[in-house]
Amino acid sequence: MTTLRIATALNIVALASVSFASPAWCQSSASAGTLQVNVTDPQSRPIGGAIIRYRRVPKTVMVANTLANGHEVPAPGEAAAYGEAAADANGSLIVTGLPAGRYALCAHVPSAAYLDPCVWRQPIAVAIPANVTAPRVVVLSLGVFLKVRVNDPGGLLPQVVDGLWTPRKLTVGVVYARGAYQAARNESVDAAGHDYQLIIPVGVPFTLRLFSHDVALTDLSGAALDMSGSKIAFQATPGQNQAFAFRVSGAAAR
Amino acid sequence: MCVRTVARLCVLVGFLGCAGLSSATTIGSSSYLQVNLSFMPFTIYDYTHSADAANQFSTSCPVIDGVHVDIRTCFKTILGNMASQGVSGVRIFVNLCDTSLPILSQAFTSCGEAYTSNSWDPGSNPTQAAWIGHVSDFFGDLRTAGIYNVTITLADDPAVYSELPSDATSPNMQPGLGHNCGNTDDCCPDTPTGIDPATMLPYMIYFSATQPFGVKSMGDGNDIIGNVWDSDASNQGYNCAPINPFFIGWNNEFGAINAMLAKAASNSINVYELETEQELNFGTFTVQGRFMYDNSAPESAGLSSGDTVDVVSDLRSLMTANGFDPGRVNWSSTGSETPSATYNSCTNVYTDYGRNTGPDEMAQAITAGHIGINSDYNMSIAVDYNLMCGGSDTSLMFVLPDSSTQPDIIDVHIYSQATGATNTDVQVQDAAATDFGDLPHFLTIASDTSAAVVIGETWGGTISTAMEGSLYCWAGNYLFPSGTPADNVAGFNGSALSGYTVTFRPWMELEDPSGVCFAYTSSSSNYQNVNYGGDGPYTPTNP
Repeated sequence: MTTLRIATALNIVALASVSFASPAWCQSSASAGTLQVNVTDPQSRPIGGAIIRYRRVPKTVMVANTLANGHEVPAPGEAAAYGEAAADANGSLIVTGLPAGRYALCAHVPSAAYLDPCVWRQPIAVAIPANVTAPRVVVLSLGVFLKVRVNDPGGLLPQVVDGLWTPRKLTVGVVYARGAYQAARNESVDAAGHDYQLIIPVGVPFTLRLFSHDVALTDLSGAALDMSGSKIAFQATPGQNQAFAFRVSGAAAR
Repeated sequence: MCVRTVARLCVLVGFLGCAGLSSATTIGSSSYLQVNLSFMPFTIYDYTHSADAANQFSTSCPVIDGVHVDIRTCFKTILGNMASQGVSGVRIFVNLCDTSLPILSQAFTSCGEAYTSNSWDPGSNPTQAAWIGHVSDFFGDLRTAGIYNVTITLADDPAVYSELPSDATSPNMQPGLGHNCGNTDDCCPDTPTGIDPATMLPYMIYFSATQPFGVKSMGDGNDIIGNVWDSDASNQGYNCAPINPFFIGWNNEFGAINAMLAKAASNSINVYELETEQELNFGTFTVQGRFMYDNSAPESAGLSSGDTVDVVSDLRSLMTANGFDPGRVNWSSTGSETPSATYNSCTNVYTDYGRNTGPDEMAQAITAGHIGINSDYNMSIAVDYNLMCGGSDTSLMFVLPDSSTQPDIIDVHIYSQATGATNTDVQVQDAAATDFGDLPHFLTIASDTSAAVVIGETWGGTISTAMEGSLYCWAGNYLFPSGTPADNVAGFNGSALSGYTVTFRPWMELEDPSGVCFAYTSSSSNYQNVNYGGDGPYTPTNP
């Protein structure tokens, strides 16, 4: 057992000027590094309240599961560090006491439509050496909310928000580029239907994709959707959320 | 518990006593026995090609008067031996585009070219006619032997086709902008780019003809681009992994599969399970979702760019059309072994035992659940126990675009052991009890308690002590005890899974270039034996 192994740390600390966070781990401060992040928009304006999620990326080893295959897991001795920190009003945050290594950063802003690079691009990589403060500017682009309402007067969809083991009778998402896909999350369910939401970039040609083996849908004009993968083209413009509404018209024809 | 006590005594009295005590034990209360035959040489499955080293059957087949029998006779002999041991089904690996020499199984004659240059048309293609004819011969031989079930697994063909990153594209890439994997971050972070310092040549992306994505190195196709661990923990491999320009194409693949299903039906062989890839690992490779719902090659299925190929539904339709259960379209997963034979105290993001993460991920993928790794997993447990446990944050996990019902079969490959050590009989038995004991929890939370349970690969019936190069036949660096198969059964019998109807399918690989692990003899010491004379170690309760 090494002292570098720590319990998962989840700290969101907001201070008056700069936000400081420190993961609960037990490495001596002599070898600890510091992450300093400034979150801005593409015009270099600070984004206050942004949440940075950081995780140390471990070296891995292959462990045997079967004769042919194994699976990768963090290598022995790899230090753990994971957590979240909130930027202050100036878009700044500092996380101290991090074990040296390569980190991956994700970012989102509660209640605002900034695009998380871990969804729409790649995690932001930053190397944090021991005893050094590693600065990183994280630039977030503003997208819009895609909101999809599916009215379900017959109650044919599960009457609960999609959970890990809830049967998926309807999937909702967007297709873009050469077939890339992002799912919209089922955010809520009420007596009349389901609400799905996803933050999407502007200026990108999308098709809204609804898929189901179980139910048939129409749009609000009554036109039936192709449930093997509807292709409703749209493109978001800045500042204007995209909203769609559909209705479950019955069970899918088998 | 009784069985467990017997096995512990076995360790004390030594192997000979152990074999005598454990061999009479049946597998659980209701069980079937199948075996893996592994790779099938369908191009040369006939009475003329010799089952010798040149065809990679150096010791797996009978030798009569110093002469190797032919390949078909070899298989007929072995199938007869298996049937006499209570084996009721076999699993075969089928290569469609293995162009390695000698050619052992190649169903398409333009492998390595675009899907448009290939077609499934045995009526006008004599190579395909011969190949599918041999498939039919094998199914006939299976029936003659009295074995009526087959599991068909499409095998990875070698990744030998390549292109420069600057020629590669990914689904993430907007058409018409001149982007490629060499000049944008539309491709996964672990895409090889630049100059390889070892060779001073540009890195290449490699492709297999039967995988709808790319890999990092020439070889077996396992070094997949979009590895979450090599991509700064990104779960976006499904979108960023390269599109395979050498992919044989879905309609071509469906054509060959449909022909195999038809031959099984015409020989009255039941297709027990159909899998187009094995041992999927959705925690590390979300791009393997393309085997179920493919966003990279819709045109090869007759669809338009931007469409998703619903491979699950297409395969289920083929099964139905040939009179088989569509719920047997499946993909196997693996159990997770740990350095501790008994540890199962951690819960994964799916609210299941950590050892069940493989089947959890499989079930999630097919139902448009969450795959990849959760950002708040517990790395300490991962380091200490090799299990992905802890956390509940699914917000950055990936969700596939289509959803289907669960298959009515669960296929998990389990080689129970304490990893990273030379195991004792007790450790193997304890690990088996833990592995099998955890599975009912998965069946419950996945609402799959009525599914057929198959331990699709597990320890072979007779452990070889031989070496393949510097590695033992079994599990590489460590020699496992000869009682491992019996320990496997004993552990199972002491677990909660023993109350289920379960099929055990021990591993065997006849087409074995080393020729040492499954050497054939006509005696009771045959390394192919699984239940010789009804004496175990794998004695099913059902024929």
